[in-house]
Amino acid sequence: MQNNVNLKDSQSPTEIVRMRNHFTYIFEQMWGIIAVILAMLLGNAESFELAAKLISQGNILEGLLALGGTFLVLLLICLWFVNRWYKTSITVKDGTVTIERRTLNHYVNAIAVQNISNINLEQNLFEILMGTYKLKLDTNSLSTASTTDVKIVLKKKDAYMVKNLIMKMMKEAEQEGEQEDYREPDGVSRDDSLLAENTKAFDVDMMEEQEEDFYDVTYSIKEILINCLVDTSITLVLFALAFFVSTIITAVATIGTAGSILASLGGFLIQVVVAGSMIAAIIKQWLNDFRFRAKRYKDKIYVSCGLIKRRKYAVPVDKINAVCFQATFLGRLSKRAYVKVINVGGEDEDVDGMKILLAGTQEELKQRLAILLPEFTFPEKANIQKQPKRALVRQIVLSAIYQMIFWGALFAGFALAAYKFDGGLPSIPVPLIVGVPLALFVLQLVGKLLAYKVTGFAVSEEYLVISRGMFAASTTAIPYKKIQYLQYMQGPIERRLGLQRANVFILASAFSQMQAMGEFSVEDYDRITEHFRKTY
Amino acid sequence: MYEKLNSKARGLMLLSEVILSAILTAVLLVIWFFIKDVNLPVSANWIFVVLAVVWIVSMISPFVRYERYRYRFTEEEIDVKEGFLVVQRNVVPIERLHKVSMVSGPLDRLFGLSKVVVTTAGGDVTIRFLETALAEKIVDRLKVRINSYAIASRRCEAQAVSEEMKADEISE
Repeated sequence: MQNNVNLKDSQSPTEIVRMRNHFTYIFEQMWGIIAVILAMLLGNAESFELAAKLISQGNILEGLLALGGTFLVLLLICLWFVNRWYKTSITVKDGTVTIERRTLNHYVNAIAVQNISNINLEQNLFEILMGTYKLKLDTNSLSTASTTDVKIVLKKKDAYMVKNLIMKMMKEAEQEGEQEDYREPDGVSRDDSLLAENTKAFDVDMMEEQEEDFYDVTYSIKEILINCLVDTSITLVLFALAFFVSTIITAVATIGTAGSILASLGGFLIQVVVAGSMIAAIIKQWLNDFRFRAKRYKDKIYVSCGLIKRRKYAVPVDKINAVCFQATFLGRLSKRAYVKVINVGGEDEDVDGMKILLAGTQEELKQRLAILLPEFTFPEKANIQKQPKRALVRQIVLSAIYQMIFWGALFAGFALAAYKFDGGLPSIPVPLIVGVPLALFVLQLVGKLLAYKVTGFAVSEEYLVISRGMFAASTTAIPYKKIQYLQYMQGPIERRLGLQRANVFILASAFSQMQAMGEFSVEDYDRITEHFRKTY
Repeated sequence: MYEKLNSKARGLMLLSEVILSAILTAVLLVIWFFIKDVNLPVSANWIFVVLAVVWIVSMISPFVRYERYRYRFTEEEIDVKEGFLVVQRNVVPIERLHKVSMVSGPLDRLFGLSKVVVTTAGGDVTIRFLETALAEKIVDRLKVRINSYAIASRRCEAQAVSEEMKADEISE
């Protein structure tokens, strides 16, 4: 696309006057709507056939009219998207990224580069084919993230150049801020040579292009395959299988009852879509982990991953608010976990953290974390303290009472209704009255026992380590200085037993902002509070 | 040392509970009116038992909540305990505060009370039922503290950068 990027000096870019998304962005935006309209066209087969017939006879206008205006709607949508693309400009200038849309409603969104926390490049399959990159800017602000986060689609060269320019501006702004806020007593100056030194960190993308062995942490195909296997959620697989089997059963049952094929088509399609989306989620996760590589360079961790959708993200180490070791059920069986870090600025798939290491054994994780996060002390499992037994007893007794109330009320209501309307007590089979509640209670009991086995915490000098889960398990290490505040809760029974629960609040997306802890003694929590107090 | 609330707070808690219970009573009475003649397995009059429980709880809870409510503002932290059955305690370091605001609704104003809402990067904590004059004093004090922490933290960062630079120069 000509004149998309208009630079004053393309060799040493200091200012971008105006720029537009790559034109392929229009197709990315509207393919969903086109698909819907095509489906509508195909669904309306009669008018489609008539239109085809009229067009083939040379009556093009009548043919288009026969399509019932669908073509017009499609055309209007195309024009709307093209207009929106044409009138949307992105300006990077004087330390500000401005997105301006001059359509019917004018919209100007200016973001100061100091507020940008992450700049990531990624490609989906379409963008790989088109040779474009999506440049994503995440802002530091949590509350305004949805309105200020920016996606720009550009040609590869432009995307890298804009990324480097914004990062350079960020560093300059940071240094200016420091100079304004504080004058060094010994008169240490920050001259241009220093700026140049610091901006070298932003040439990581270029270095990656040039150096084959740029990344410190890489994985063999075997390791990636093992990761895919142990990272798969067994629950998702079981649900997908159940839906798949029920789809086949529905299909078989429908064949032979010709009259009901159409009637059962809706249900059948829903089952196919649900089973398909579950399987797609599993496969997407596998593909995301292919070619996973990571590098620690200065104060950032650089990650590149993905087979079809290539993602690249940089995690600033000082913005890491917690390190989380996540193990699925299969991962726990094979003693493997993957590592993610919780910070602000992730995307949809990062709502609960950004992955920095694939699944590995404890030794492998230790070795790799020593490269990526040498400042992190690996939490030892042996130090994790479990909940007191009385906490488990309380949970089991309470769940038994709740179940008794629920089932008692249900059966009593049922019996009462039958007595009132049919004039006699119903004959509910005894195995049903006893069996169903008992089976559910046993299931709940197993769940409580599994959760008890996993739930725990450890207090180290720097970190509060929280362990929780049931079938899957997670261990989260939160530096005390990153804890925003602590919340304790105590119900009447817990008060009698000297127990308490807690929530630890950190700076993260809504999904990970609150880290819940199990039931521990008041003294244990006092210990945590004391450690927390040392940081302020 | 924890502080106890002014007795006006108990009046506000009681009034809030009465208003909430009155709304619930109106809703349940409307339901009762429509179902009283319908042939149901259970008599519609059970609604009055539910209402009795609601009113008993709403008459007891303000007194229990008032007795349990404790707060503490020190130089370093805010510590608030409150609740009826489940008691919740929030420990918020002043150093982590980003914003502090004072909010007062019509009922608060009727009793001369206000809420202080403190915002950290991890979420908000509200300290309710404070006398307005006290709330203003607390907000003013917190504002000064937040500013002084922000300046000190920026200085520390700048100091760290300067030391890092020196270390780099020495190593070179």
